[in-house]
Amino acid sequence: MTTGDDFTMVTSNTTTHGTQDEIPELAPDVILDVRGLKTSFYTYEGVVKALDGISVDLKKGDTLAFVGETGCGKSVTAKSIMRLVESPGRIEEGEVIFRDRADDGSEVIMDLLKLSTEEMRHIRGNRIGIVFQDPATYPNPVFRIGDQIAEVISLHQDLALDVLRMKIERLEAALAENPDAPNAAEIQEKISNYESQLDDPPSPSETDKKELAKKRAVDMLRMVRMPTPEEVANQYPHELSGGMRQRALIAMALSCNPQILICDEATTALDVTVQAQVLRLLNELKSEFDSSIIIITHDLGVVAETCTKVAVMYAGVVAEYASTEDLFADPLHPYTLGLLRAIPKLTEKTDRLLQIRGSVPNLITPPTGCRFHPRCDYATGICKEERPPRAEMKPGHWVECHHPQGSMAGKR
Amino acid sequence: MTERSSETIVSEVEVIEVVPVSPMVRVLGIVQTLVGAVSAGIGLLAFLLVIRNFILANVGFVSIIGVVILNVGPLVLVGLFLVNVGMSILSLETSAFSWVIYGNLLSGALYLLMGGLAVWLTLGNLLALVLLMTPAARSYWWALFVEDTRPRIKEIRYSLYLVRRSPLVVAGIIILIGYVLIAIFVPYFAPYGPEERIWTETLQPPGPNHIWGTDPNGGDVFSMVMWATQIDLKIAVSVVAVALAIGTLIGVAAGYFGGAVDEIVMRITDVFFAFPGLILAMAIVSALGERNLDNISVALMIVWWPTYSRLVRGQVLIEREKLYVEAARSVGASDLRIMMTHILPNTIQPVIVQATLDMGGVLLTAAGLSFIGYGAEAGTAEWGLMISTGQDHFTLFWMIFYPGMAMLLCALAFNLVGDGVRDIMDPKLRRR
Amino acid sequence: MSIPVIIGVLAITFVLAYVVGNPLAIYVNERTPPQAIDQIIRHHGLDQPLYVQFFLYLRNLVMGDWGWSDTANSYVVDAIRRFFPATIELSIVAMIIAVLVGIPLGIVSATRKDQIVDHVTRVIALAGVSMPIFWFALMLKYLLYYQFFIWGLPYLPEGGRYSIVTVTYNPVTNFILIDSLITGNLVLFFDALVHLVMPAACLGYLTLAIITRMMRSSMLEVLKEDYITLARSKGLRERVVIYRHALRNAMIPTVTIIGLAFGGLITGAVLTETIFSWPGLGRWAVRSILTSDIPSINAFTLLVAIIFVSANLIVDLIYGALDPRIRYG
Repeated sequence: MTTGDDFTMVTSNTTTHGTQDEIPELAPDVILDVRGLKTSFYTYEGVVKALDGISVDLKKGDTLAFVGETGCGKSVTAKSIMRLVESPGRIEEGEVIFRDRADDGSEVIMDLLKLSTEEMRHIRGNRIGIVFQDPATYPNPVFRIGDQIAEVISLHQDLALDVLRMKIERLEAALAENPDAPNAAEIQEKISNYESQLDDPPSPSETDKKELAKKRAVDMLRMVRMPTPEEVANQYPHELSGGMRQRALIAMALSCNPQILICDEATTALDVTVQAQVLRLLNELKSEFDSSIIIITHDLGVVAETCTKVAVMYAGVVAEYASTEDLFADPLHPYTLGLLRAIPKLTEKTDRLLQIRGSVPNLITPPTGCRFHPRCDYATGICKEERPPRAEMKPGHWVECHHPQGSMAGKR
Repeated sequence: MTERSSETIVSEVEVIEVVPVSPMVRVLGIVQTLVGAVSAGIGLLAFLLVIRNFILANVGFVSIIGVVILNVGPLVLVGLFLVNVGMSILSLETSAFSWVIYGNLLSGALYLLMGGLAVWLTLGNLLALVLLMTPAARSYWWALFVEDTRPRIKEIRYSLYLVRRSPLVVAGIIILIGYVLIAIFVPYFAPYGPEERIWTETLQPPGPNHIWGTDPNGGDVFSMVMWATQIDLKIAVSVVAVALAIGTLIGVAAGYFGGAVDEIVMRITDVFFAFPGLILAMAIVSALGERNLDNISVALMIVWWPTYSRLVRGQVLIEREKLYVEAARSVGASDLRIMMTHILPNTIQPVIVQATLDMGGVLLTAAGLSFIGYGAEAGTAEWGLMISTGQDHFTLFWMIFYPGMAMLLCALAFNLVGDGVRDIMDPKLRRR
Repeated sequence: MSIPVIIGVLAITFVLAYVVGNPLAIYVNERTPPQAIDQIIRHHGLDQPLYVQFFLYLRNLVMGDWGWSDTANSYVVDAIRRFFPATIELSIVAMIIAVLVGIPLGIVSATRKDQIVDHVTRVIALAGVSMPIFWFALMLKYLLYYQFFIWGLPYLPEGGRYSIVTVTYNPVTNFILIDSLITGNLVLFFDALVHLVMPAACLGYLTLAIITRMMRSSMLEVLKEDYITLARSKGLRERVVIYRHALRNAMIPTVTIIGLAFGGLITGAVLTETIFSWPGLGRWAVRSILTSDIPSINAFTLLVAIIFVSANLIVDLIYGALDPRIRYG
C-alpha cells in the first residue's frame, strides 16, 4: 500500500489527512494505535518479512516496551512508525493511527502511513521524537550540539511571537538598567511598537530566529540535567562522553515537546550507572512533558523498572502484549515464559542457566503457522499449520498462541 | 627455523590421518618444484640480464631487451611460490594442494604473455594440474577444498549477481573482451599490415579503399588502429603487472616490519608522488638512452610502483593488527609465511581494483609519452604516435579522431570495470 | 611530510644536474680555452666532493641563482617569472570549473544511485579519466576553432594567452586577468578569457572527473551513516539533509582529492600547453627535456614539488575547518 521509502517515492494518495476520508476510529485515551503493520526487506536472498502483522496500542501517559531478541523486529517497528525504513525495506500494509494534538489543543486523528511526505515531516521530530541506540554515531560529528538541537526547534516551531517577546524583554532590560539614557523615549516607543504587533507577529529575521532557537536549545540541555548546558551547546559531539551525548540526543528528540518519544535501545550502549540515570531522566521528563514513551530494549530489567506496558516480540510478531505487572506475574506465551526463566535469580541455586532451545528463525523462510513452534515445548500439530489469532485472554492481556500457559493453561 | 618445525608438526598429523603416500603425489611435488625452479631461474636470469644490459646501455653499448624483463618480477615471485608449493606437497601439507591450482594458472598465464619458447612451459603447468586431479592426489585435498570453497563460491555468485545488475560493468567487460579479440585476430582481418604504407594514397579521407582514411605517409588508419591494440594492451598489462609485483613486495615489507623500513619507503613514495609522473617518465626514458616502447614501459614501471606500495602498506597495517595474524604468530609461523599465506590474500582485493583502474591510466600516459615524441619509434602502429603524426594536419580529423576514440574506449572500459567492481566489493556498500 | 619531500626532490634534481648531466656545460662552450675551464671548475667548486657540491647547489638555489635556461634564453628565475603565472592562471581557472561542476554532479549521482542520471554521470566522469588529454585538446580545437570557422560561427582562438597582434599587453604581474583588471583594460580581459576557454575546459575535465567520482563515493558512504537517519528523524527536508548534514561530511575526503588533483593539473598542463601554444611551465618543460636543458628541467621539477607540498598544506588547513575532530585532536 504505502511505501516507507518516501525519500525517493511519493505516494499518490497524499491528500488523505484522516479528515477528508473517513476518520479512523480511535479509543479516547489511546494516542497511537498500530494495526496489522507489515514491513519487508527485499534482499538478494529473498524477501525478509521483518514485521508480519504487528498490532499494539499506546495509551496516553503510558510507557510501552518492545522486548525481544536481536533481529526480532523491534527497531524496524520504531522505524516503520516514523516511516524511516530505508530501501530495500518497504512498509507493505497496516495502519498507524495517531492522535495529533495541535498546539491550540484541537485534535486530529490520522493514519501516519497515508500522510504525504511533507505532512510526515511535520510529525517527525515535532509530534514524535526518536532517540537512537548508539550515541557515538548518531550526532552529526561536524556540527555543534547546540546547533543540532536548535535546528529542530527553528524547523518545527513558530518562533515569531517569541522572537518579538525576546526583543521587548531585551529593550525593557536595557531601559531598566539605564532609565535616564538619552534615547529612553525612543526605546519606549520601540517597545510599544513591538507590543502592538503581538497579536499578529511579523515573521522574524533568520538571525533573530537562530538566536532564540539556540537559547531554547540551551534550555533543553538544562532540562535533560546536562551539567554546564551553555558550554555543551558550543561543543562538538566528540568532545562529550557517551552519557552526555545520549542526553543531548534526548534533548534533541524532546525539543519540540513531542507527544510520543521513541527510545530505540537508547540505553544499551551506556554503562549501567549511566543507564539508570538516563532511565530515571526519561521517566521524569515524561511527566514534565505530558508525553508517552515507547522503549525498545532487550533488557527485561529496564522493562520492569520503567515501563507500564510490554509487548514481547518474536520473529516479527508480537507474541504477548500486557501491562508490566501482569506480564511478569502471569506470562501466558511459552516464549515469554522462556525469557523470564532465562533470567538467573540470585536467590536460587542452579547448576546451569536455563535457555530457550534452538535459535531465532530465518525470516526469509519463517516457520509455518506459529513462528515459535520449532522452539516451543508445548507445540502441537495445529501450531505447525495455523498461525494463532491475536486474542485478549484476560482484560488488556493479548496473546498470539494456541496453547497459552500460566493462569490460562489449557483454557483454549 | 620456526617455519620448518611448524610444518613438520602439521605434516606428521596429516600422515597419521591419511592413506600412505602414493608415488603420484611424490611425482606431483617434484614436477611442481621443477616448474617453479625453472620459472624462478628464467626470471632471475632475465633480471641479471636486465642489470647487465642497463649497465651496458648506460656505458653506451646496447639498449635493454625489454620483452623478457616485462615478466621478470612476477615470474620470480610465482616461481619461488611454486617451489614452495612443491616442497610443501612433498612434506604432505594439505593446504598446498589447492595452491597448486592458483599457482599453475598464474604462471601459465605469464608464460602465454611472454610468448616464444615460454609457451612450451605451460605443458609443465598442465602436467601438474593433471597430476593433481588423479584419485591418489585428490584424496588429500578434494574434500577440504570443496568445504573451503563453498562459502566463497556463494560470495562469488552474489558478486556476479551484483555485476549483472550494474550495466556499466557489463558494458566495460564486453568492450574489453572485444579489444582482446581484436588483438588476437587482427592479422586475419586487417586489410593492411601495421607498417605497410601506400605511398600513392596519402592523406585520403575515409572512403571505400580506406574506411578510416590514410595518414601523411599513406598508412591505412583503420589497420593501424587495429594493430595498435596489440602493442598498447601489452604495455598497459605488463607495466601494471610489474609495478604491482614490485610495489606489493615493498608495501608488504614496509607495512609488516614497520619502523625504519616503513619510514624510508614511505618518504621515497612521497617524493615520487611530488614528481610530475609524465616528466619523471620522460627523464627516465632520457636516462635509459633510446626512445622506444620498451624503455617507455620500464620508465612507467618505475613511476607507477609507489601507488601500490602505499595501498598495500595501508592494507597490511590494518590486517597486521587482526587476531588471526596474532593466532598464526602464536603457533610459530614465520614472518614470511604469515605474509604470504595470511596477510597478502587479504590485502589483494583493493589492489586488484586499483590495478584495473591503472591499466587505463598507464595506457594514456604511455600514449602521452609517444605523443610528445618519447615513445614508439616513428612508423610504429601505436595510438599516441598516430595522433602525434596527425596533429600537423589536425583539420583532417580522421587521423586523430579514430586512434583517440580507440584509446578512450579502451581506457573507459578498464575504468568502468574497475570502478564498478570497487563499488561491488566495498564491504560498506555491499550488503545493506 | 613536506620537508623530507622537498629534500628528496632537491637530491634528485642535484643528481640530475651534477651526476647525470654535466654542470660545466652551463659555463663552457667549444671556444673556451682549456686553462679557463680549470679556473671555472675551481671557481664554481666543481672539484669539491659531492656533498660539498650539494651544499653549494642548495646555496645557489636559496640565493636565487637557479642557472641559465637555454630553452627560454634567459636566467631560469626570469623564465619562471614569465611562465609560472601563465600556468597558475590556467590551472586555477580549470580547477574552478572542475569544482563548480564536479561537486554538484557527484551529489546528484550519489543521491540517485543506480538510476539513469547516475549512470550517465558516471560515464561522463569515467570518460574524463579515460580521455587522452592531448586528443581531447586536438578535438576541441578541431571543432571549436576549425569547424566553427568553416561554418561561420564565432570560433575560439587556436592558442596563446591573448591576441598578440590586435591587443597590447604590458605585463605587471604576468597574470593577464589580474593585470587587465588593474589597468582597466576590459578588451584585454575578455580577449584573455576567450583564450582561456579551450585549454581550461580541456584541463578542467580531467579534474572534474576525479572530483565527481570522489564526491559520489564519499557521499554514498555518508548517506549510510547513522547521523543521516537522525537528521531525517528530525523531520528535516531531504534537501537540507543532503546539502547540510551529508555534504559537509562528504566534503572532507573530497577536499583531499582536490589538493592532490592540483598537482595533477600541473602535469596535465604539460600536454595541454603544448597543444594550445600556451607560454607556461609545461611547454617550457617539454622543450627543455627535448633539448636536455637540465637547469630548466630541475626548476620545473622543484616548482611542481613546491606546488604539490603547498597544496597539501592548504588541504590540511581546510580539513581542520571542515572537521572539528581534527581541529582538537
